[in-house]
This record gives sequence, C-alpha cells and structure tokens, in this order.
Amino acid sequence: MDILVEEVNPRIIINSCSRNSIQFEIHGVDISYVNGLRRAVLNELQTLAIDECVFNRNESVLSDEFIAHRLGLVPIYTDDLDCVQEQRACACNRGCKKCTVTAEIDVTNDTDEPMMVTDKHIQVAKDMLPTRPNGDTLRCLPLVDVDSSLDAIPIIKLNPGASLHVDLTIRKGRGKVHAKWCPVSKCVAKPVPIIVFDDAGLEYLEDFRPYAQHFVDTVCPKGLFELTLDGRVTLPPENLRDCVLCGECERFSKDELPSGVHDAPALPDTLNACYIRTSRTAFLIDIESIGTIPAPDIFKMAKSVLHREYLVPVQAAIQQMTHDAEGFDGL
Amino acid sequence: MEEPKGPLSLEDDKWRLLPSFFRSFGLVKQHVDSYDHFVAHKLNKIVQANKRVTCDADSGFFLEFRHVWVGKPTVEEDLVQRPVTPFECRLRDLTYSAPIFAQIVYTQNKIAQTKHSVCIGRLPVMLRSRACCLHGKAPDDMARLRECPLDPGGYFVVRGAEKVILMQEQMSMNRIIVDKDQKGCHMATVVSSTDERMSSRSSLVLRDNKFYLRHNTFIEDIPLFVVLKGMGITSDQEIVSLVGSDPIYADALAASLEEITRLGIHSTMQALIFLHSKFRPRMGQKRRSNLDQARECLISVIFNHIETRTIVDGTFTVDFRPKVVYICTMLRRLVRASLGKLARDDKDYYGNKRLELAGDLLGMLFEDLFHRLCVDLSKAANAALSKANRAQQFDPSQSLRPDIVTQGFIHAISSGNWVIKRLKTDRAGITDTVLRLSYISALGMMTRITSSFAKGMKVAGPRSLQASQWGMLCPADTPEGESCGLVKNLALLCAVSTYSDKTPVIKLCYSLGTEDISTLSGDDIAMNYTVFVNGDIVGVHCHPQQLLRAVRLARRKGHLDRHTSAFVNEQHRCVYIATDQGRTCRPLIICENGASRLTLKMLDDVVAGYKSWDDLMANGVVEYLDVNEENGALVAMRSHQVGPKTTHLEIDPLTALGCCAGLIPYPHHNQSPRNTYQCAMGKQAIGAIAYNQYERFDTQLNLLVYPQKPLMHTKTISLMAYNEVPAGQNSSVAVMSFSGYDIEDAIVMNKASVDRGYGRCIVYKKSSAPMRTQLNGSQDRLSGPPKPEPGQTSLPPNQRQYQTVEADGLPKVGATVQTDDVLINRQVPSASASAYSPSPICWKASVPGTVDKVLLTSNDKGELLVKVNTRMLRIPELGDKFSSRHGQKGVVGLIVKQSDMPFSQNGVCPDLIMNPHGFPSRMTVGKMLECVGGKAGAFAGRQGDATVFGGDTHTAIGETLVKAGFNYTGKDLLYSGITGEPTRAYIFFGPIYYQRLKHMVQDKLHSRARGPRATLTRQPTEGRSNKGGLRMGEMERDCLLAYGTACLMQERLMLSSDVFIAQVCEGCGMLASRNWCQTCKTSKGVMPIRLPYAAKLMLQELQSMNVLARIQLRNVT
Repeated sequence: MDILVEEVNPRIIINSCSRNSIQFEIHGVDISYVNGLRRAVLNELQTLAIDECVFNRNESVLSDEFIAHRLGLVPIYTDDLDCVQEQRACACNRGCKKCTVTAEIDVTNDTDEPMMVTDKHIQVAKDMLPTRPNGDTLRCLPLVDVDSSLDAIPIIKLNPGASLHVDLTIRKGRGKVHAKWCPVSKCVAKPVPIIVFDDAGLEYLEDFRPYAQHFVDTVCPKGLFELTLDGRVTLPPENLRDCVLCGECERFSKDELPSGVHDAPALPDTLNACYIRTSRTAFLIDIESIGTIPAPDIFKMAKSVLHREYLVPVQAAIQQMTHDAEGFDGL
Repeated sequence: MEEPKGPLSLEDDKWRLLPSFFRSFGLVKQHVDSYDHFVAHKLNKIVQANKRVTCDADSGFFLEFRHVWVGKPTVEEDLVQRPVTPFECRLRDLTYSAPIFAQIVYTQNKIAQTKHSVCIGRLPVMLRSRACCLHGKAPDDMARLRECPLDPGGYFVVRGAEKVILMQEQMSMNRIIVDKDQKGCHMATVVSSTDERMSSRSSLVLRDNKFYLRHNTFIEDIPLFVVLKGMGITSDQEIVSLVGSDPIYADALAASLEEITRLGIHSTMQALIFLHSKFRPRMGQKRRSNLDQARECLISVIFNHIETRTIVDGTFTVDFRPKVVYICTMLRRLVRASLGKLARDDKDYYGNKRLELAGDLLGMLFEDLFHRLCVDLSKAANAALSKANRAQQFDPSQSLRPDIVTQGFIHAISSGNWVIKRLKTDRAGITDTVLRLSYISALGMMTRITSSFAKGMKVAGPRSLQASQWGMLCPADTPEGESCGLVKNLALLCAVSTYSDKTPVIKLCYSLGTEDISTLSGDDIAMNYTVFVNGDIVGVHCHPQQLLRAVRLARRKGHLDRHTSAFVNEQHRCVYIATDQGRTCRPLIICENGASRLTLKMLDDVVAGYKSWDDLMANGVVEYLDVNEENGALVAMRSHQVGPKTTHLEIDPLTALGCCAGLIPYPHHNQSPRNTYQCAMGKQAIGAIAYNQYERFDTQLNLLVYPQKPLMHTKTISLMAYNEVPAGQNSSVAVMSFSGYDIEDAIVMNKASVDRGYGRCIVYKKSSAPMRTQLNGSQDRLSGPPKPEPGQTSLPPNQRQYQTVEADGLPKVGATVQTDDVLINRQVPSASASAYSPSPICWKASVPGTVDKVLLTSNDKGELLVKVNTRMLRIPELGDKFSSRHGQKGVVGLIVKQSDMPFSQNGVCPDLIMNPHGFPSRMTVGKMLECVGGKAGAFAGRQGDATVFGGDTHTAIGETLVKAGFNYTGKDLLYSGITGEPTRAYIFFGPIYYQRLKHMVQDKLHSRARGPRATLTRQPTEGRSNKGGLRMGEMERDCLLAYGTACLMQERLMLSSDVFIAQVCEGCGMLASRNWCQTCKTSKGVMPIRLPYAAKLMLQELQSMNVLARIQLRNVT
C-alpha cells in the first residue's frame, strides 16, 4: 500500500520557472506517481478549444473540414477555467452558458490583395459569456488577444472579394479526447541521472592532465564534465539535469584517448571512468505550456486531478477491500 | 536549401547545368520534340506523298493538296471557331485539338480553282507543344489559363480525359543483326522499313554450311545464290569477290555454290523461275507473269530499304548493285560470325533499339487517315461526276470529310488502338490515361517506355538491365510482375532523337573522301571501312577516324543536327552514321586534351542565367551522344578523373536515375529492389498534384491536407519541383517494437499527431452526367425531388435519398450526402411520348460525403453536362497504408494516445513507431541515413542533401548531431510512456519522410450477410462493388474437409449459396416439373431433392448439348 495519498509528500526543487515553462526536481516519490502526473497533464487536464464550426459562408479556396481542423487547434485563453463546465458533465443536454462559449469569424476581404485570416479574427460573443463567482464576466478569447508577444496564427488566405463566416462553439475537453485540448507542447518526467565515478579509473585520467582534459572536452556530447584547477574531473550537480543518459561516458574506453602524447603514462587494459544509474526517488519534470494555462498551474492542476480522480478513488477502494477482508477473516 | 553565390568547383557544381537544361527543354522534351517535328515537317511530307486525288469517272478532274499547316487550338460552337484552353477541354469533356488546314487546287469544268485554308481534319494538340496555347507562356499567364505551371505537358486532352501516347520500344529497322535462330543456325537479319513500303524481315541463314535467304513470301529457305543470280550477278567469281578475297570466304561459300550447280541454276532467268515456284500462295494477289512477279519481289520486298529503282529521264531503271553489295556485306558478317571471328550481335543492346514517340505514331495514323480521306473524296467525285446531267457543279471542297481524320485521331488516342491498314498493324495499348494520383505519377507516365515484346514469354534477356542502358533508362523504375523489365522509364537527361535529313550527312561523307561503291570492285569494298548512313551503304573510306572527327566537328559547329551520331565499329570495319529518329541520346560535357571544355567561368554564366543550354551546345561545350557513339567515347564520371584520353565528362551521376527514383534519398545505400518498390509506390503517394488541383474535376482525386517538403531532399527533387507539389510528410520515427501491433511491417501511430493533422487527406470524387439528346429529339432532364405528401413537411422514408436534391435537380454545395443519396436527379424520356423515367446518379460510397463543387456546362454536342464533385475527409485509421521512400510499406496497426507513446529526453514523441525487424532483411541503409541526416538537418535548420552518389556524408551528419547534443549514430534514450521508465536500449530516432498511399481501409472494408445473387447461377455476386459474398475457395474448403466438419461445409457451400429444390423423376432420372414427369407422363415417383442450383444448371446445359445425365435416387435411412 505505497500509494496512500498521505504518504505522497514530495520535496520540490524548482530549477527554472516562467509563465510558459517550468522545470523542477521532485524528490521522495516513486516513478509511478511521477508518470501518473505526466499522463494526467497530457490526458486529463480540461481546457477550452473550438469544438464545433458551422459554416455559413466559405468562399475561400480550402474546404470547410480543412478550416475547421485549423480552427480547432487555435489556443483559447480564459482567466477562469472552472467557470466553464465540460458539456457532458453539465445539466443541460445541448450546450448552455455554463458549458459552451460561442464565437464567430466573419471576414470579407475588401482589399485588392489576398488577405490572411488569423485567430485574431475570432470574435467571442461577449453577451453569451458566463459570470465568474466574483461577479466579473468571464474572459475567454484566443490566446493571441491576451499575449501581445505572440504572432497571429494564420488560418486561411482570402482572395479579394471572398468572405468567410463561421459560427464557432468553444467547449471544454480533455487531451485524451483530442490533442487540441492538451495544454502542453512538452511534458517530460524522467528520473534524475546518477553518475558514479569509478575512482580507480578516474585516477588514471586525472594523473595526466592531457587525458583528463580530453575526457572532459570530448566524451560528453552535452559537455557536462568540468575540470577543476587542480586537475580533478567533476560533474557539477546543476549540470546533471542536462544529462541525456546517452551513456557515452560509461562507454568511454582508453582507445578514445589521443595516442602518441609525450610522456603519456601506461594505462590498464580496461578503463572505466564512470557508471550511469538513474534515481528511483528523484525525478526531473519539464513542462512547456502552449500558453493557455501558466506552466506552474498545469502542474498543480495535474496533481489535483491525479489525486481527485485516481488516487482518492483507488485508496477508497483499497480501504473498502481491506475492510471486507477483515470481515472475512472474522468468520 | 541555401544557394551559395557562385560555383566553387567544377566537380561540385557541374550539376548546376541541369536547371538550365530543364529550363530550355522541360521535363518531357522527348514527347514535345517528337510532336513538334510531326507538325512542322512530317505532316506536310505525308500529304505531299499522296497529294493528288483523281477519279475514274472524269479523267480531267483532279484535286491537289498544296501546303498543309496546323492552326491554333480551337473549339467550334454555333458555327464559330473560338480559341480554347486545355483546362476548358478537361472540364467540358472536349478534345483539345487544332484544325489542319490545307491549300487545295482542283478542277471545276476543267478550270483550276484554288482554295486557301480548307480544314481537312482536326489534330489533337499535345500540351506544351508549339501548337499549344500554353507554349512559351510565363507562370502568371498559365495561372490565368487555370493551368499548373509545373505540369510537364506532353499529353493530350481527348474527350476531357488526359491521354499520353507511351513511348514504344522496338528493334531498330534497317540494321544487320547477326544471331542464331531456334535451331542454332547462324543468321543475319534485317528488318527493312521505309516511309513508302511495309516493313519486311529478311534473313540470311547458314544451314549445313550453305547460305539461304529466309523471308515469309517464300514457302521455304531459298539458296542465297539463286537470289543473287536473280539479281543479275551470274558469275560465281564475282559473288565471291564481293564478299571478300580472303580464302575463308571462298571456303565458306563453296557448299552453296555447289548446291546451285546441283539445282542447275546458272542464269537470271532460271533463278527467277525457281524463285517464282517457291512463292507462298497469297489470297487476292494480282496475277502477273511469273518473271515479273519474281523480279518485283526482288526489287521491293526483299531488303526493300535498299533503293534499286532510279528514275532516269522519266523511266524507271533498276540497278541491283547496291542491294547485291549489301547482301554480300551481310554475308561477310555472317561468315565471320560463324567462324567465331566476330561476336554475335546482342538483340537487347540498347543501340539496336528505337523508340517510337507520339510524333511517329501520329504520323502513321495520319497517313492512314489521310489516305482514307482521299479515297472517300475520290469516291464522292466518282459518284458526282459519273452522273450524266448534274444539277449543280461538283465542289470537291464540300465533299471533303474532315471528320474522317478528326474522329480517327480521337478514337485512336482515347482507345489506344492503332489500326493502320497500310502497314497491316493493329496495336493495342498505345495510349494510357495520365494518372493524377500524385505529381510524380503523372510525370512518371511521360517518361514511360513500353516494349512490344510479348509479356507471356519467359525469357530474361529483354527484361534484364543492359549495360548500354546506362544514363538512358532508369535502372530502378520498372514495375514488378509480368511486365517487369519490359516497361521502362527514361533517365533524367535522356533525349530521344528526332529525324533529320540524311542528305547533308551523305554529301559531307562524299566530300570527306568516301568513295561510292558503284565504282568499286569487291576487294576494294572488303578492304576498306564501309560507311553506313542510317543503315544504307553510301561508300567506303580508308581513314575512318578522320571521317569521324570531321563529322563530329561539323555536328559540334551546328552544321549537322545535334542528334547525329557517328562511330566506328572496328570489328565490323564499318563507320555507322545515324540521323534517324528514336535513338536515345544523352548530353555530356566535351573534354579535350585532358581538360573539360566547361570552365568554371562558363558554369558561372550558366548559373547566373547569362548563358543558356543552347549556348553551351553552340559553343561545343556539351553534346548529345547516342548509345552507339558512347561506345567510342571515354567518359569520366568526375572531373578529377579526366585524363588525356578522356573524351567526355558526365554532367552528374544523378542523371543515371529517372524522375521517380530521383525521389529516393541515398538510393545507392539501398538494396536495389527496394528502390524499384519505391518507384512504384511514389506514384501512389497522396499529396499535392498540381497548382490547379482544387479546380479540377477528376474521377478521384486524393489530396493531402498538409503536404511537406522532405527534410532530406535530393537534387532531382528540386529539379522536378517536387518541393512545390510534395506527397508526404516528415514524421519522427522511433525504430522500436511496441505493443505487438507492429509486427509484419505494421506501424504504430501517435494519436496526437493524427489529431494535429498528420496523414490527413481529402478524397474528391466526381459524378457526372450529360443530358443526352435522344434520337427522337427528346432530351434528358434534371428534375427536383418528389414533393412530400400534402400535410407532410419531409419526404417519406422510402424517398429519403432525394433529401439533398434541390428544385434544380442538383444538390446544394456543402450538403452532406449519405450512401445512395441522389446527386444528379436525371430523368430520361420513356418510350411513351411525354413521360420521363428516373435515372439518377447516386452517391455510391459507404460513408457520407460533402458536395464540393457543381459544374454546369455543355459538351461538344451542345448537351448540358453536369458534374458534381464530392469530398470526403480521411483521417488515418487502422489499416491505412503508409510507406517511407525506401520501399518500406506498412499499414497502421495501432493508434496510440500520446501519453502512452515513448518520449525522449526533450519531450519529443514519435509520430510513428516502426518495428526494427524491417531493417535486417530489407537492407535499406538509405532509410537509416535519411533518419540521421534528417535529424541533423532539423537541428542545423536546413534541408539535408541525400542525392544519389553524393549527399551529406554520415560523418558530417554524425558531427552535426554531436554538436547539437545528440548521439553520433542517431540513437536516443527514450522513456516508456506507460511506465515512465527509461527503455532498456537506445532507440534509433529521427525524422523520416513518409508517404500516405492511396490504399485506404475505407475503400476496401466489406462484409455481407445477405445480398444480391447472380441471375444465372443464383450464387452470391462477387466483389465489393456488387455487395458480393466472401468466397470460400478451394483452399478454405480443404481446411474444412480435413477438419471433418461436413455440416459446416455443406452450409457454406450450398445452404448459404445456391440451394435449390429440384424435382427428379425416379423412373427416368431426369429433372421433372412439380409432381409431373413430362418424359414418363406420370406423377408417380417424382421426388424433391436438394442440390446446388449450379448443378441443376449444369444438367440442363448438358442436355442442351445432347448429353443426358440421369439422377438415380435411393432411399437412405
């Protein structure tokens, strides 16, 4: 019974954090929990996306399905995700203020040049938006309208005189249903690498500075090893998280050393510099948001989803089973 | 790809001549050149050859065609000629053709009348030829004509269908081939063919040390000396001396001489009588005197390409000497070959092959059609002029029926049947519809060569790759199966020669010291080098190399046609010069004195556009060599290999491949058949087909939603503009096993990639219907849907198929059509006068479609033509077929959530997972290199180069990868998406270009419980399109039989198929009607039995053939 909720009490070290990405180490959990988190991020988080397009007029070159698919992948921002419900969980059957947001694209190219329709042209129907618990009207709009640093996403080019009029329905959904609801572009959870130096082997290298220098310079494609002033090969802990576990350092053999170096000492037949292991309790998590939800929030939401939808029910089930079993024993 | 400013080295940059080459000639120059030659020269020549039409009724009447030319492509509507574009023809099912005009002179009342520009027929116009309205148009103008600027042209639009005339490979005419016949006798064969005469095959055979002539006008082999004597050479000594003075010839001929002595033939007269007795009897031959017939045969049937008749002062004189010399030359070759002094000729050697192109084939056809036109005209003149008193004057220009030519062309091109009466040929499959599956498939059809060789023959020779095909034909691009090696494709730079006049060459030969044979003795001929021009002996020369040098110099200077070829065959002691059409040639850079004539400066100018390919030709920097002349050339592959004896330098080894094989990255690292497989699959790949793809109405059009340029490109790809109309997507591929749903080449696909548009394609299907005018003048019509019952708002369920149809009988654009819904609600007039019966065109696919476009237009008969294009979105699903560019095809075995997919350190998830078992047996190392090269290219931010015999080296790729922080060999550590643990092995991971192939589950999915049955046998129908049953064949039957499940077998084979209760009479054992046997006239003992209907049918069919099968009945308890 090592998945009891109370026992999950990790220690978190944040390596870097910004709105759109977060990298941290998590200690004191096992791989199933971390992987569960990762899967929750990809599958279970609920976000908004355009889910239905009704084409009133499409005079563009491309077909309706083509445009609808592009529109579906447009990131939609909202300042309060809880304000919109998943439609299947909503009391209404065919969409109401609580579970859908309506929007439209209505563009006519009046210019003489081809015109690019972008996600900036998506107009959310303001009057149809739900109210937040604090009394404000919900903000729900394409990400590009919130984050001015973003480039508009091209959807289609319209010829002079052509127009496009689409009614859009924004709904809440999960990444496991369609990738458009997945809030991350990257989500990695991996064990922290452990590199154990073979002291005997390393000593041979460190005894002769050109060898040590060569080892540090060439063996790791990421260049993680460093040479201290007193000629010792080290691996600074902050470098370790860049390790890709490529195994080049473990595979290192004396044949890779430059030959014919003046004063080179004799080396043993087998020369191991280090061994690679992975930690069972410490993990690196790297999340990159597509921008609709801040990366730290993604982690928090994933954690609560994991607990709420998986760990708590599982724990309850286990307790029930234990309870039943006790009763059985009593007979 | 980033282009460096100017050429840096000759070796690395001489390939840059190629863009200039394609700018000048386009991708299908061979077709266009041939067609242009036909229009410019051949057409007129054919008309001039039979220009005069006379008639028997009035000897004073004649009609003469003077000058003939082809106008601009037009269409005639309401008696008005209007220019037409190919695109309009495609849409409206018209034929893209231009009128052939002639100036005619004829007599009317014995006064010569002249008419300018009379149309004698319409010629289908090849796209991009000089007659086409697209010729020389800039891309913008093309766009205005709704034509794709990348389209290669070279095909025809006939009745709205795009048809290409395939190149036909044939043995070359008028060339001596020394070989063995089936019995192992040596023989020298010539197939003679001239413009005027039918082709005929004549062979000299050496049998039992005696020489014979074999020709199918004779019932048996004729002793050769009889023929020679028939030609007037009565002296044996003269014959032997013409063959050669070496004693070997006299020895070889001795037996033959003895034979004719035994036959008692000494004089010409005796020989002719003998020949006449050996004629094969022919039906309907004009009876003529024996001697004349034999003489005529010698003149115009045997070796008829050697002209024996000359016109002196208006009378024919016959001079057999050229023919005799030719036969003796053949004899000399034969004798030497039989003695082993001369190698036999290789029939598969590509120098002995000629390609027949569109121009030649159309020429043959036109000649026949024009002849028919003239005969028809002559008949009409006869009919009109033989009347005693004519109501009005006969105007032959009114009786000229251009339809004969027009319809003849259209029929031949659209059916592919070339029926030519004069040559007595009937060839099928000459043309083919241009497949628009992808840009490559259309381009591939233009470079295709078919061979007339019978497919059923089990011989390897004609199918195998010949060394002489190097640089001319693509070594990889050929189909698998029965036509393997018979259907070939041109290499990238291969040009096919067009005919050029041989008189300048002959004149040049004479002025360069060639001596005419007519003045020479046999010894003189045998001692010197014989000079052949297009297979005819023109004379002898004693310094062949000098002659050769001069001819080549004249060609390089532009005094002779660029495709003229000249070479010496030292074994034959002959100089062969050729100007004929259909030879495959390829351009090479000329080298002199150990240096290439292409300098870096010139290359610079070509790249900058200051010099064109034609300038290089004119300056003698590049020239065309045909297969034969290549034999005398020493060609360096790379510029550093140029030595003092080198004559030519390759432009680039990549030109050895064709356009389809040019797509493959690193093909030189692959096992050869894999490249062949890719050549076939590249044609099935879905992608973009042309810039005008959304405008087109094709029967079926598959388009990828997001086609991508390949990350690993080749030079051929950029030369063919494949980057502009690609067919595939760069996919990150992990080579690992996953889930077990990836066995047998299946691939596992990432659901998130599919969601984001990977492999997504749109299928367009056309339904069309013309509103035909019936014979009685009534017309088909469009009609609205049936009206709902009064009081109802919608149609009753049995008329739901009309729901998409609007009042005009057509569906709304954007409407969804379900299976069996009506697309075009056509009604045809019934037999009774005013009634119409429905004849709708319905949506046949099993999934709904969306109406995309509706076209209302008129066809060439002026009828209303309706075309409806319907589209379907196809997202990859289980069972859809994908392939990389290395002949590695596979179906989707599983689509996996992204969270379950393995991921790399950086969070990269593969788009698809390929099982590593695909590699060891296939040996597609090119695919591995594409993977690492693509990965390196992705991180370096450029397209990698994977051109054949070149491209990025694996060391450079590895170093780029290491610099970007990856493993040198392209392996990454991946983590399981299911458990989160690192995989136990490093996984080969990188981007590979994948093609989605046209085979999709949705088009093939089929099952049936109950359904239609065939009328005759009452068995279930066959095939998906007929909602057919799934056959339990013999092998399946064997399984059940072996397993002993008799009842199951009976159910499958009879009860679920064609069970029938038949009545059988116990008495006579014949089939009876119910309770009554007509034979026994009784109702007693008529028993019902159960049997397959097919069995009952067989019994009755046997009866109809007077075979009576009786059934004996017995009680089984």
